[in-house]
Amino acid sequence: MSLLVVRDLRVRFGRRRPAVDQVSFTIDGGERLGVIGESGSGKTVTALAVMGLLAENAVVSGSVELAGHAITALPERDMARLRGDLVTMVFQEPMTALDPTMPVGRQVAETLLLHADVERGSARARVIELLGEVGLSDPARVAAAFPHQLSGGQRQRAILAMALINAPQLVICDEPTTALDVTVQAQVLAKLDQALTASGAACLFISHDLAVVSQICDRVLVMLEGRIVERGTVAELFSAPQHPYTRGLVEAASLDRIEPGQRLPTVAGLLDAPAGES
Amino acid sequence: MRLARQVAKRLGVFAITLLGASVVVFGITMALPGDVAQVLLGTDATPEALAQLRAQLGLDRPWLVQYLDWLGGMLSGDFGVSHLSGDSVLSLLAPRLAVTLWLVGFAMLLSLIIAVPAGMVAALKRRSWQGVSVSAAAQVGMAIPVFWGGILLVMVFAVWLRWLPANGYVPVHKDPVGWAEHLILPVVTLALVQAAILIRYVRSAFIEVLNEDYYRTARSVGWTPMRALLRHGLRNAAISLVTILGLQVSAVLVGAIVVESVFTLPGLGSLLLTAVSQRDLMVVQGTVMFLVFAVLALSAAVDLSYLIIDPRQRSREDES
Repeated sequence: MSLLVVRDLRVRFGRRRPAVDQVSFTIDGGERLGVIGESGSGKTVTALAVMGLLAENAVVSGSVELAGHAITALPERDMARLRGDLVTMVFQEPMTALDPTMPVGRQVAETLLLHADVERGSARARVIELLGEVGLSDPARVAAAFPHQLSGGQRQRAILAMALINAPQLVICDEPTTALDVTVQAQVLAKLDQALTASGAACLFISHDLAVVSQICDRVLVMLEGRIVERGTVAELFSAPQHPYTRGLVEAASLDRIEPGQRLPTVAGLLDAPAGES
Repeated sequence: MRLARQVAKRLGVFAITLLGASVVVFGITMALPGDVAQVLLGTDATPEALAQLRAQLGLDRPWLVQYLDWLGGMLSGDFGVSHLSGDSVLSLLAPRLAVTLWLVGFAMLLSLIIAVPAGMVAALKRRSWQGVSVSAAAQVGMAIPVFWGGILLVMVFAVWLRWLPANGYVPVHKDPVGWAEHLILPVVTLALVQAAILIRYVRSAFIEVLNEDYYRTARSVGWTPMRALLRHGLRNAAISLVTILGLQVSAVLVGAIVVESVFTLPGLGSLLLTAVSQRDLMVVQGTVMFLVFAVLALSAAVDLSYLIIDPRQRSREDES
């Protein structure tokens, strides 16, 4: 049985065109699924629907089933118990995703204490150990620091530690490295890859960058305007992209093969698609 | 060292503001028509008698001399002497200050106790009937003038139910129970009006938190909305609320003056009103300067409390 089953998911905000429509996919235990698409294509809304964290005014139909729990029908209290434990999320903006008034270590420890029956002392030790594991060179100092005293890379590693500390079965990553510079991005991705392999957790990895997705994921969904327009393994997508949008993405991801003087490829997307009412 | 320099800088600003305020206070009281000599001697006094009394009280000296005399006195802790009663301004001020401090202090506290939970509910449930009713109640509360609210409470709790006294005051050291009974209605009156104003600010501060990424992170690790807001929202919301509180202090003091006259409490308000009507300028100046001092001291305290609440401010202070 699959870990995550999403069937016919449709999310509307108010009277607008659905942000997500007819979205169905599954993720097996330990599997890594990439979701790729431009801003506004419904990637993040899909992820938030799986977390049960959509805004109050969202109208959801279809079903999301996570490890046998029907997420879309689950009361908030029960869903809160699953969040941070069974399923966790790494957000895009490390600069703002941490509480600016609380030391980072305490925020990580909180996630542990919220779900596991551990003493404060051993929680602290576990936090520092994990902060070391995600590649922070001075974990004790980072744990005592406030978010504004850390770099973007350090913060995102701390957030990664927060997402991994309860050994979740599914980690949702929403553009986790987009806000970081390229070298830090590669390091954080490598750590994520390592941690997922070590824990055997499944991953839903959202990005607009096919190159990044191909480093982490096995299979890929391509989303455009709230719908899935193409799906397949990373290799399939690269070798034989079907949808024009995917072809554009693949070309953009292969920029290193372009001769000097040649025109850069562009991605046909939202601007070229027939305009929906909005 | 850096902190000491910051504190010194703030104290400097504080002193300069106070000095500026003293000029304004003195100028305004001097510009008031009529003077204490006129009040003392009545309207049929001869010009000679008036001039003699003015000379006696030092009112015929140039304004600058009078100002410097007053300022110098205050610096050495002497706020002058009431021309009417001959008592020192400080001895008039002290017992009345206690009344106003109790009133303002308890009212601020009670208004926070009401406004913070109510504002949180209003933010969290803003799309459902609970939140809407809190906001509506706050709107109604804001529309009620302080004096009318006070009279209403007196009618219900003092006249109909006879639970509490309608007016008057007993010092705490004479009769603690009577003191509390006399303070309850004035404090509630002042607090309700303040709470109605504060609820809106608390609500919008928490709505801001609800839209923050760190709130979403808190939800994503398993906090329920209310607990996420308490754990990660309270301190962040407090940063903007403290600013509002600092600004509201002067509004509360004005409200206290009205409440004191509704409940005939012998506080600074009634002292000030009597002194103005009797042109007892020394008392007016002393009381107003004291109020200015209180407001300035509280806003300095607000500035310093940012350093406690917001760790980012602390590092900024280190860098500068």
